[in-house]
Formats: sequence, C-alpha cells, structure tokens
Amino acid sequence: MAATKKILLACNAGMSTSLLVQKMQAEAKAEGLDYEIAAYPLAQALDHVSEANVLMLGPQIKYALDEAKEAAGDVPVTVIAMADYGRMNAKKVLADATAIMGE
Amino acid sequence: MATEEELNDQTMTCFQIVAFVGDAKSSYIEAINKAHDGDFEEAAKLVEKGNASYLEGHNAHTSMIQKDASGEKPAQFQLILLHAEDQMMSAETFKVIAEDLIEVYKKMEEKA
Repeated sequence: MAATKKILLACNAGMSTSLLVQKMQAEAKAEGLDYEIAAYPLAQALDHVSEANVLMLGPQIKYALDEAKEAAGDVPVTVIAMADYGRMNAKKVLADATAIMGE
Repeated sequence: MATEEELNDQTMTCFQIVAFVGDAKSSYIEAINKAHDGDFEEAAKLVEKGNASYLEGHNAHTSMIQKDASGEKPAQFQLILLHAEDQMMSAETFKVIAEDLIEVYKKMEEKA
C-alpha cells in the first residue's frame, strides 16, 4: 500500500480553512483516498511543510506565496482559487491537490 | 432556532466573504510590496484589484445584513460569521495602509 499523502492548508489563523479541511477529509474518504489533510496558520504550516506532499495557501495569504515557496523547498506550493474557496468546493481543491501530487 | 439549511446558507455566505475580502487583503499587501520596489503602476493595479474583490465581499455581507434587518432571514450567531467580519475589518485597514504607504514611497522616490 502506498504511503499516506499529506496535504497541508494554510491561512491566517487556520480558522476558515479548517472547515474546508473537514469537507476535504469527507470527500477523500468518499473517494477512498489515503490522504492526511490538516490546516494551520502560515507560520506553523511552514514548520510542518517538510513532512507534506503539497502546501495549499488560502487566497487571503496569496501575498506570502514567494516566502512559502522558499520555505517549502521541494514541496510544491499552490494558492487555492478564490472561487473554490468561497464556494467551499472541497472536491475541486482535492482534485487540484491530487493533480499536483502526481497521482 | 435556525434550520440546518439556513445555517448552511449563512456558512456559505461567510465563506464567500472570507474568500473575497481575504483576496482583497492579499492584493493590498502585494501592492505595498510593489510600491516598496518602486513599481507604482503595478501597485495601483493591485489596489484596484483589491477594491474589486472587497466590493464583492461587501455585497455578500450587505445582503446578509439586509435580510436580517428586514426580518426575512435573521442572521444566526456563528464563529465563522465573526471571523468573516473580522477579515473584512482587516482588509479595510490594509486598504488604508496600502494607499497611504504607496504615497509615502512615491514621495521618497521623488526626493531621492
């Protein structure tokens, strides 16, 4: 069995994003994907980024993309589209993560 | 008591607000960074982009307030609503700071 893939989400306080994470976890379960998904405030997310397969930033911290990329090293970093975030489109965000992780 | 569906509607509106005003705040911060680097044209574009996103978030918020005030759909207390309004305030603050800082950077460049 393949190792669990880790998806990290980051925003200002990790608050609104943790709701999105809950939806993504439910979606991943429904799709039978072995994913570990977590949300953190940005600084904390950067502490954990080396263990992750992808780091996704909320649209509210898009300005920190360069800083996050630098801290993330080889781990891919992306910004969640405003429309997907606003509609809490967990399915789409999960599909984006899957595409980035190359499955 | 609000039904689950009503709460869900409100939660979605809150998420929209967070996404829009959050995007706006991000644009304002990017604008400050551009002005810092002397790219005032790009800074102005980013402030405009921020304003457009903020307006969308503001409209979503206003429609919620209006429905509440008319009694059609009273707003329910939710942590996410508090968070959305907090994000709005933060974005608003950054707009003022961005516009002011851009002017300051311009003046500094003129004097240099």
